[in-house]
Amino acid sequence: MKKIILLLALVLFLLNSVTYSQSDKPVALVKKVVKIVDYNKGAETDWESAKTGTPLIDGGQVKTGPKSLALVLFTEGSLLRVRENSILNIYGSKEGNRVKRNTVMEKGTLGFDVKKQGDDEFKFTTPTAVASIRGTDGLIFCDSTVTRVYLNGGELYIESTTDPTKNGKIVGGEKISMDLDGNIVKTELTEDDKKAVEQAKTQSIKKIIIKTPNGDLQIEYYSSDQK
Amino acid sequence: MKKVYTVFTLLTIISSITIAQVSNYISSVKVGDAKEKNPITILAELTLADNISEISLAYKPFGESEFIKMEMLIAGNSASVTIPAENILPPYIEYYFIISLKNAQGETYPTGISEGVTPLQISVSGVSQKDQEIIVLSPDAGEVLTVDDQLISLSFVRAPENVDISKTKIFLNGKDVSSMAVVAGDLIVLSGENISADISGSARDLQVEVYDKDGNLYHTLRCTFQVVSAEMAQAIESQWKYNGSLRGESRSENLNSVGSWYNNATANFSATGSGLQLSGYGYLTSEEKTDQQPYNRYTATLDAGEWLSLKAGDSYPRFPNLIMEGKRLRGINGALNLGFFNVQAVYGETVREIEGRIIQQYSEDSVPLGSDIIAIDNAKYGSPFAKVKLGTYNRKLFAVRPSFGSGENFQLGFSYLHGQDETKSIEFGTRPQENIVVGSDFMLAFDNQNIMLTSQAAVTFLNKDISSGTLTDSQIDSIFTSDSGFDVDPADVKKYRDYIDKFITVNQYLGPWNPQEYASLGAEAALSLNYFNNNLKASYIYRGNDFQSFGQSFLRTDVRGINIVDRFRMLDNKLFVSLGYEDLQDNLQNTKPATTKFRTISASVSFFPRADFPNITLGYNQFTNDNGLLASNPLMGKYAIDNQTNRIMVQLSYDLTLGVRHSTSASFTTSSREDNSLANSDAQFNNFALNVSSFWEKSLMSIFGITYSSSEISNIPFDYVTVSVGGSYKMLEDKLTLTATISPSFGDFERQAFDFIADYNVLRNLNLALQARIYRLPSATNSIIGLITRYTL
Repeated sequence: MKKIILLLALVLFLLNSVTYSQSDKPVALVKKVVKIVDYNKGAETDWESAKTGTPLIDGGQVKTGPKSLALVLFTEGSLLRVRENSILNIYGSKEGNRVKRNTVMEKGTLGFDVKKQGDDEFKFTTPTAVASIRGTDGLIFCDSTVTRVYLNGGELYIESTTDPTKNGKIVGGEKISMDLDGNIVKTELTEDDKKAVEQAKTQSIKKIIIKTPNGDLQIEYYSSDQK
Repeated sequence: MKKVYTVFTLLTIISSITIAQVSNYISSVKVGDAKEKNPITILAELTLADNISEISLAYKPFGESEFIKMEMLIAGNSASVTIPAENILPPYIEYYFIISLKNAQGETYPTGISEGVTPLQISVSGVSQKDQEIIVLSPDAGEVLTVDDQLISLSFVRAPENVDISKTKIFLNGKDVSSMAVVAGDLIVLSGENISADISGSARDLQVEVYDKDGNLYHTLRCTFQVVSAEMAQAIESQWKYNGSLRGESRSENLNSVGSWYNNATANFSATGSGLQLSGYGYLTSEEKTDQQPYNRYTATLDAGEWLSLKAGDSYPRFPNLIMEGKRLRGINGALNLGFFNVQAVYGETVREIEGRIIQQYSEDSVPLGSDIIAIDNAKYGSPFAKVKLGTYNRKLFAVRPSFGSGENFQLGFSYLHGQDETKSIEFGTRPQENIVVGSDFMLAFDNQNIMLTSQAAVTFLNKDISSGTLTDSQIDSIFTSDSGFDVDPADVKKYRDYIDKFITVNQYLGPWNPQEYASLGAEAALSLNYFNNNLKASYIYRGNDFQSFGQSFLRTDVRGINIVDRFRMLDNKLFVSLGYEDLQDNLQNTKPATTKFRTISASVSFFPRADFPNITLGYNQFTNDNGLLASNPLMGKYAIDNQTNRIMVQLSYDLTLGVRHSTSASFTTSSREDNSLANSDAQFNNFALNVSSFWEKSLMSIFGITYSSSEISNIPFDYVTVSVGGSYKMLEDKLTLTATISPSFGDFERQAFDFIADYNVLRNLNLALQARIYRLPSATNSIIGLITRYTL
């Protein structure tokens, strides 16, 4: 039942965003593409192959394939690292000087480095949680049952999508997880967690060269040993 | 990245303001362009460097109550130091140098600071709001991109309505590539496939000109990055990056007909990769002598992101300033930052042992009294006492500061410092000392640090002579006898001694003797509010007369009072109005004949138009010191302090094009001190300086400067004029740069100075420089000639 409510909530959110907010003005662009990265201009449009510099409009999506990576740069300077096998929905608007950003991800891993000013808003929405970022960087993992956030700096406020009364806050050096029931577990980042955050910032590409009688075959891929 | 930084630093220093004043030890000072919250490196060119044992920079931002001192790094005939970014605040920073000589004398630069001579100033411009309005999304400064990944993207999401995005011009290595860019909403994108391939080399200099709707230039942005092949990018990404340099100098100095040769070598090394940064620095000089404090410097550093930093060798640890700041330590310096819990610790020597020597021996019957007469080993030297040249003990220091909180909104820290002279380190010394400092500090911030409360407090304990060690049981029993008049049980004294002795030697030299009067307490608290373009900071300081930390050589003691500074920012940080008021007093423990009140009023207006108009800074200071005693009082008149100094300062700088580009600066300072004490040290000081740098063509630039200085201290006038004319010329495809300056001085100060530098790039990474300085004084002609070799890895 909860999943149905959640699905409805997400659909309503997406529809609402598309209906009332979408504009053709780019809110972000693709800064880097490793292997398979596709994008579209809205959930109902076709996927196209993304390239460096591809603008992403409000309501657009970015999809990464296996061993792939996309760096998405928002117009206010915030950077998201969309790791392999993820789909990211991008929403953005501007009210006066206030820049509002939201991203919706159903499953995947996302590194973030948010640059906010004044009353700007940057939110991450997952099947289980809505997280508001107050600077600076960290890592989000999510699937349909749980959302985990590692925060390197700044503050993050998180609330359950199913029960907004269940919420919590973490500061830099802490991590938090929230499941479908809104249960929260908050602890300090371990050294391994910190390494994971740092590792997520690297965009190293590995290369396999297969020598054949007809020449060398090179396969480039993004090395993801992220758990 | 390091190379880019090095080149940038060199360019900054080359284009920096050069200041010349009368000094026996500093020939000129070079300061880079000062921008708010950006560190500034100050470089002092030295003469008679062999006579200098230590040189420190004293600086303070506008309105602050006291100068912060930092020991400078001496390398060859220059000394440098970098003022940390957090202290670079508009409208200006005042600074001077403290020069300690090997003969235990000292002076300041400018000379006569204690007599009221005005310190030097650096105008600090504010950060432009426009830098935040037009965002360079890509590339990052110094970023390395592949040809396919190269992306130039600008965001105007925060730009005001009057900016016309379509008029933006983009230049890459001087070539206009605007037509290749795509404008999409608030974005301008110029990606790999659109960027012309006919730009040679890997270095890219990006310049962006943004225009308003009327076609007027609104803002200019610059950024450098590199474009390399995919293979190179992969190598850079996946491997450790190394760089380094070696520098050797051989220098001949002929000063007052005495010739000396000096040789020194400097090595820098840096390796970055896997989230780690390793770096090493070494400086070896022929000036290193065992009978002086060290001149050689060496440091190895390991940084693992922001969470771990380890330094071995020479470093300048920074603890809360009541504990330790600006002091060189040779040893280990480490910090672990885990977020909620952090710890910083240092251990090493701050003073090297220097053995003394016997001057004259005395028998028990003939020994006179004297501070330099000590007991010596009778069996070894044949007499029990001797007059000696006192040596210096090796001083070891340990400090630790655990803290809780990241420091973004909250931090609570506790500090402990223990310093001790090693009594066995030398044979001929007297009064070895020991010191403990215990302190805590606290920081609380709200609303993005717009409201910030900081405080710190520390108590010091100093034992002024630990040579006899801790009191023994028998000594305590003999002092605290039943008829001694002390109503104290010797057993209690022993109990407390045993407890305190774990931290510091307990004997009759342990102080403070009047702790109930807070004589060794240091404390300060500050509240800063940053709203409505208005930065208000109010602080209170208290430092008892016996406050002393071995980690801090420069802290002003016996002072308490308030300081209020307010900085108004207007017109997009183009206009700064700053006001400051300070009210301090001394004699906290009634150790002086009267209490002196020190009142300072500061006001400043700075205008940085960032347009075709000069940058202007006007400043006014009034210093009033008065202890209420009248000079006419026959008994107490000699202790009277009653003086007032008024100082007005004007600084102008302007870049203009008259045929060619000229960079000009002018300053005028006038200061007048009225001294009503018996010393009657009235002082007048006027200084005018004008500097013009002209860039005639790519290879040729010239400088012209004139300085007029007129001072009168205690009715002794001293007036002079210095004219500087020079230039630099690049030839042989820019491989050879010749720079020459001639600076004659006339009036009460007569000197003709000639500087010549020939700098030749033998190879891309091998550089030779010949430097010659000749100073003709009425009494002698001095010269410094040096050959410098630099090799970059």
